[in-house]
Amino acid sequence: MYRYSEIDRSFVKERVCQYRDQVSRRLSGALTEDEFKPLRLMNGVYLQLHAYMLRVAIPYGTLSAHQMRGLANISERWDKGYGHLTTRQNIQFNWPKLVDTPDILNALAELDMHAIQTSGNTIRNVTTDHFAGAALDEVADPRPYAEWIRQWSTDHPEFQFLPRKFKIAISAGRQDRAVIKAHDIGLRLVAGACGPAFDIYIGGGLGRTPVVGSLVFKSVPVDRLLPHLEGILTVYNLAGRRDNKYKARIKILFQSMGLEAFKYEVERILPRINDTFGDSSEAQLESLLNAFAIPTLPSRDVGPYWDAVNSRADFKGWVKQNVTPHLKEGYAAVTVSLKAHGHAPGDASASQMRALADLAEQVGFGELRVSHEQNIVLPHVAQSDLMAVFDRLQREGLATANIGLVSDLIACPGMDYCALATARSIPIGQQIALRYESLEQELGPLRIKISGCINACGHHHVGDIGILGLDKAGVENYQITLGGRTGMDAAVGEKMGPGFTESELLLALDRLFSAYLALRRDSNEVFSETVRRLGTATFKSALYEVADAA
Amino acid sequence: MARLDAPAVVTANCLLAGHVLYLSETQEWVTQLSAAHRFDCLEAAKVMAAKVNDPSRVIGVELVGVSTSPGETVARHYREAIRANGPGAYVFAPPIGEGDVSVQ
Ligand code: HEM
Ligand code: SF4
Repeated sequence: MYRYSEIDRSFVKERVCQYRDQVSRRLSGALTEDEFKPLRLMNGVYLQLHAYMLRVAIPYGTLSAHQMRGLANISERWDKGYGHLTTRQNIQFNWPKLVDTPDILNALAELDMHAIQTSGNTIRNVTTDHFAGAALDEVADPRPYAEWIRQWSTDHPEFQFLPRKFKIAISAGRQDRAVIKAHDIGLRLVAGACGPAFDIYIGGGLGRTPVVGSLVFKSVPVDRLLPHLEGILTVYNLAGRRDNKYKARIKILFQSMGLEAFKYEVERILPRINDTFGDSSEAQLESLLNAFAIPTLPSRDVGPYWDAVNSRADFKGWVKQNVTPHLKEGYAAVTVSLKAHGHAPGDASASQMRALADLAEQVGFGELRVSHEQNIVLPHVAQSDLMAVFDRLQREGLATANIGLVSDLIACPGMDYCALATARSIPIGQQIALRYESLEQELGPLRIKISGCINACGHHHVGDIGILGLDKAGVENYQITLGGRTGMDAAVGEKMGPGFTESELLLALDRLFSAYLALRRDSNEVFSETVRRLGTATFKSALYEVADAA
Repeated sequence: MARLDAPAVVTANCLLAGHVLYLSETQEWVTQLSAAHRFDCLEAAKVMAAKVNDPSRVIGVELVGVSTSPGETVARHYREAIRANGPGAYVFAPPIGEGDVSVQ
């Protein structure tokens, strides 16, 4: 794993001191709220419905056991003993007091963590595949490149006041597990003629105008990556709209210019930018590649593992659902579900965080990941240790065997916390998880994604079933989209029609699932395939059947 | 958000801690909506909101509509109900119909 250098440490510490001073100036009246707000946001501090919220960056979702334990301590000392893991692989604390936030940021700095660029119109946390370094299908570990981009983008003097926020994701597998096409820039690490190279997708995004990113630069050699990013950001920074925040994302500029014109503008300035990147950034990458070397994974006897699989049905079921093959034989990646039926999706209590830290230390080479699906991953676990992991997870309420099923849904904070929300999302997710608990194995792989407003933080556009909560004349109203997809063939779901009230929504889902079970070819045809084969119209009529008859 | 009608209460968030506050009859900030002063005249409420907007103590001073039922002050919009009662994430809506899943 990457360890902070002295430069990182002193930069973060200095920012904490500046922020402490800003808070005290706000409290003394030297700064007005209007002056202070952008300063607190630059340090990840939002004001939500009931409290402040602190968003902490977890670069590319990678955490050490020590950091996870530190986050647990922070949640108990300054918050309500839990944290919320997000689709951007970050963690949010929902109840900090403003006066405590400088101390929290200081505690984070001690952990080599911070909240810088988790808000505002800057380059946000770079996200990546939660199985990076362990995935069977990857060209190379994408995290050294993500860290390289983090170092380039953090406090980048040109890119602190972009027209709007900017999100970059990288994936390196045949399968894309980082939803790269829904990002302002999506990077795909591919095998180039002379080593790893990048396909660069531009102009994806969700929000009120969902767009799937387009492939603009193909097979860009590694040493040209940062100049390309700088070129794209420069064109956007100069030409992106600043007059209307709903039209300020790069996707709008990219669409209005067109692919060729945008590409031309980047290529026009590339030679100049290339000159500004010397050998030092390549040397920097070289040291990062070493820092992210996969731990030595000794061979272990897998006999006990197979004995356990054959003798314990609950363990076998969990392995089937939550354990992923590893590139090293005898090892596996474990996805720990933060979606126990009826619990708030993505929430982890302090004791759960500590248990995960213990497990990472004992059997996981000290490393944890946050997935964009709001779960935790132990990327390197010997199969012979899986039984012990399962037992400990069971004691902590973390052994739910539901990865990829209905209850493994994504939900944004919604109106339970978020000041921008138009409806609740977490309770909807909870009800869905409970309602279909006994049916979800039969329903098979199915991605439900819920957002509490048009901003789409819950990725509803790319869910097999997307649910968007709106306010219709003072009543919560939930609109369904079908046919959304993540991955290299990502697609934006199709809006089905008028929304449903909370209770109608569950009945509509009953009808939708009944239709799927009746119409699928056999139990091997998963929900998304049946929707693709038959088209959304068939399912639309199922959704509205009773409503129409009434 | 819907148009604001009387009766209304004055609300804000606490600068130091962030929690939700309401203005009481004695012009103190309290945490219970039930203890908030109900204004039947919007103009009077606006004047009061401007008067108590002390940036060293509160942020986001605004008016929200409450129900007219006598004796109790209840939020009219679900957003305000959630602000008043805390995250409803752990409180389920009433069960629908007879409850059980009707997927065949
Ligand atoms: C709680 C405070 C939050 C606020 C104020 C907020 C605000 C927003 C806004 C305004 C947008 C739309 C941006 C645009 O279209 O230009 C957005 C998009 C998004 N947010 Fe959030 N968000 C919050 C929480 C979250 C959380 C908890 C997550 C992760 C679970 C998240 C992840 C995302 C994602 C993935 C998008 C869509 C991708 C895109 O940027 O196009 N946000 N958010
Ligand atoms: S989608 Fe809307 S409600 Fe949900 S977190 Fe984003 S801004 Fe808030």
